[in-house]
Amino acid sequence: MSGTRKNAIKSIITALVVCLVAIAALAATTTKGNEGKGKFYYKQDCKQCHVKGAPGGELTPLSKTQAQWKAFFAKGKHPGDNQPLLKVKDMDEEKLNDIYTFLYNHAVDSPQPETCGK
Amino acid sequence: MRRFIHVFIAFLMLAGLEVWAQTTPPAGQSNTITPEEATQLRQEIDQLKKTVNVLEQKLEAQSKPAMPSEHVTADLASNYAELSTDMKDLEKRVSETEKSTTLDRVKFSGDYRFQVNTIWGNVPNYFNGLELQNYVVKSLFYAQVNGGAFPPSLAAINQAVTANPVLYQTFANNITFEQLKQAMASIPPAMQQQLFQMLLPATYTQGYSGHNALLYTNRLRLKFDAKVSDNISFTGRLSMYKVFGDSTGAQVFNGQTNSVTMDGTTSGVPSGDFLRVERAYFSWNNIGGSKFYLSVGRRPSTFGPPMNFREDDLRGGTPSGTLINYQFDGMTLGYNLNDNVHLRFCYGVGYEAGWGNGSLLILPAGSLKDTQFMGANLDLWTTDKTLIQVTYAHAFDVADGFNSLMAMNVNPVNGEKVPSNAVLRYTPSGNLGGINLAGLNLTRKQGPFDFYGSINYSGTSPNGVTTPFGGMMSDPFEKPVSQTGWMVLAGARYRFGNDDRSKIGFEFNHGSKYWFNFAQAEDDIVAPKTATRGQVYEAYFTHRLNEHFIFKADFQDYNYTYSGSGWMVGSPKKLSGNPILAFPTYQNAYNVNFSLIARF
Repeated sequence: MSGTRKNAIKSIITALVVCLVAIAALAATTTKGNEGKGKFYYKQDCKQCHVKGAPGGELTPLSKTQAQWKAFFAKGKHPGDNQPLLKVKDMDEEKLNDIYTFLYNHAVDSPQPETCGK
Repeated sequence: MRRFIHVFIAFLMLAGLEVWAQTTPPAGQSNTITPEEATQLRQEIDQLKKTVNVLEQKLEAQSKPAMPSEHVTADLASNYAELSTDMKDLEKRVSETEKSTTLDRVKFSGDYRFQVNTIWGNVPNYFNGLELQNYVVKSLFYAQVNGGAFPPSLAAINQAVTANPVLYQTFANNITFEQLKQAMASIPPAMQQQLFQMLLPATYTQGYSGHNALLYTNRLRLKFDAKVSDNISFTGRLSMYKVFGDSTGAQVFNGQTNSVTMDGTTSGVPSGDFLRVERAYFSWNNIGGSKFYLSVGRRPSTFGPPMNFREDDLRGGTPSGTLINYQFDGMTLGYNLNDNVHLRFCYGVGYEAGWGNGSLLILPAGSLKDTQFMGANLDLWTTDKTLIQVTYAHAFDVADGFNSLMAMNVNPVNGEKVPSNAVLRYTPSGNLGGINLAGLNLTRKQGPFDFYGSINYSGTSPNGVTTPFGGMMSDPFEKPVSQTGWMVLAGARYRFGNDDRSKIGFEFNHGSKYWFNFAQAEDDIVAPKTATRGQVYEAYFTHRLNEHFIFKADFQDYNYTYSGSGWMVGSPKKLSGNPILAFPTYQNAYNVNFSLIARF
C-alpha cells in the first residue's frame, strides 16, 4: 500500500481515537439502573401485589409504554393509595432505579429482537 | 330517640299520677284542688307539652339530611355541570382514540441511514481466465480452418481470426460450453499443457490498486407489524438501499457477489430507489394452545446473531448471521419449550427453476431442479445476557448461480468482450450438488462487555456437473470433488459508562480455502466479510446522540488469501501465486465509513 494511503489511514484512526477519548472523558455519570437487578427486584418486591387477583392488579413491563413508565416513576407514587414507591418494604433509590430501568427497557413499545414466532 | 321521648312522657304522666296519688287524701278525707292549684297544674302541663313538641321537632330534624345552604348548592351545581361536560368531552375523545386504534391496524417503525465510505483495494497480479478461454476458443477455430492443425503460435491464432472475421464470429457465437468441454477433453494432457504455456503469457495482468474516495449511500427501512388475531401476527419490512446518484438496479458484473441484483440480496446490496420487500411473514403462535408455532413468508433471515452487535441493535434475524445472511422465502415450524429455549425447523427456496426461466422452451432433460434449503435453528439458551445458538442447514440442488440481473461485458462461454453493457437476466445453467452448513454461536453480556463468537463448518457434495463458471468448488474443465471449509468469528464490545450510549467493538474472522456461507446480503459495501477466505479485522464505534439517533464509525481491513469468496462455483486460487482468475478480485482492501442512523 502506498505511503499516502498509509498516512491517510493513520490520520483517520488517530482522529477516531481522539473522538473516542473525548467522548469517554465527557461521559456523564450513568443514570441508568441495572436491568438485570431490576428484573430480580421487580419479581421480589412488586410481583406479590401485581399478579392476577392480587390487590394491585396484574402489572408487567408490557402494561405501559416507555413514556408511561417514565411518567409513573417521575411521580413516584402508587396511584391507588397514593403511597410513595420508596415506602415499599426494603426499597431504596438505587433499587427503584433498577426496577424502572427493567420496566422501561421492556415496555410495550421498547425495541424487540426480530425473530419469527413472537 | 323518639321511643325515649315517649317513655319519658309516660314517665312524667305516671309521675304526675303518683304525685296526685300521694296528695290524694286518705280515705274519709275530701280532695279538693283550689283554683290556683288547677291553674298551676294546667301551666305545668302546657309547659310539658311544649317541651315534648320541641323534642319531637329536634328528633325529626336529626332523621333528615342537612340541606346545604343556597350558596353551597349553587357551587355544587356549577361544578357538577362542569364535570359532566368534561366527562362527555373525555368520553368522546376516548371513543375517537379507540376507533383510531381499531382502524389503525398497522404499527409502523423503521430507520434511515446515511453512510459515507472510502475504499482502498489492491488487485494482485493474475492471469485472466476468461481471456484464456477466449484464446482456447480461437485455438479451436484455428484448428477448424487449418484442417485440425495445432496452432504453432499465438500470432498464428490471431491471424486466422483476422483473416476470417465472419467465420470466426459464427463459430464463437455458436459454440456451446458442452462442445468446449468435449473439445478440451479430446486434447491430450501434454498438448493442453503446451497450449496453455503458449496462451497464458498473453493473459497476464499486472496487479493494480483502486480507490473510491467517497461513496455515499442511503438506506431506508420501513417496518410494519399488525395483529391478525390474538395468536397470529404479521411482520413486514420494506427496504430501499442505494448509492448516491444511481438507481439503475443493475451493475456491471465484476465477479463479486455484490455486483449482481438477485432475490437474496435486494436489501443488503445497493440497487436503487426501489422499495423492496425484505421480509413479510405471519406467525401463528400457540397453535391449538400448544407451544408450536408456524411462520410462513419472506423470512427474517438477515442481521442474525452475532452480526447485530456492530449495528448497536438487538438481534435482527432468526438464523445465525455468520451462516445465513440472505433473504429467502420459506417457512418455519417452531416449538417454544419455554421463555429461554426455542427450537425451529426451517424450509426455503433459493432458486425456482420452473418460473421465469423459459421452462417451456427447455426440454425436460435440460430442466433444472429448484434449489431448496432445510435446516434447524435452535436457541438452546437465550436470556437478556446470554445466547447459545446452533444452526444446521442443507441446500439441495444448488445451481451455478442465482436468477439475477447484471450487465455482462464478457461472454462467459467464448470469452469475447460484449460491446455494450447490456443488462441481462442471468439464469443458472446447471445444478451442481448439495451444501451442508453448521454453526455454533455464543454471546454473553458480562458487566460493561459483550463477548461473542461463532464457529462454522461448510461441506460440499458435488454431482460432477460443471458449467461456464465452474463446478462446485472447481473450475469449468476440472472434475469437482467434495470439499470442506470452516470459519471462526470472535468479537468483543465495551459499553461506556454513559448509560451505554457509547460502545466500541472489535471483530476478527478467518475463513479457510473452501469456506462458503449464504451471507451475500451482509451489510458490507466492499464484500460480505464473513464470506472471506482469509481474515478480516473490524473496529467500530457507535454513539447514541439521543436514544434513536446514532453515529457510527467503522474500519474494516480485508485480507484475502484465496479467490472466490462468497461463491460455491469455481476453484479457489491462492492470490499470492499469480493465479488464473475469471475476474479480478481484491487481495486486500480497506474500508472506512461513517454513518448517521435515525430510528423511528
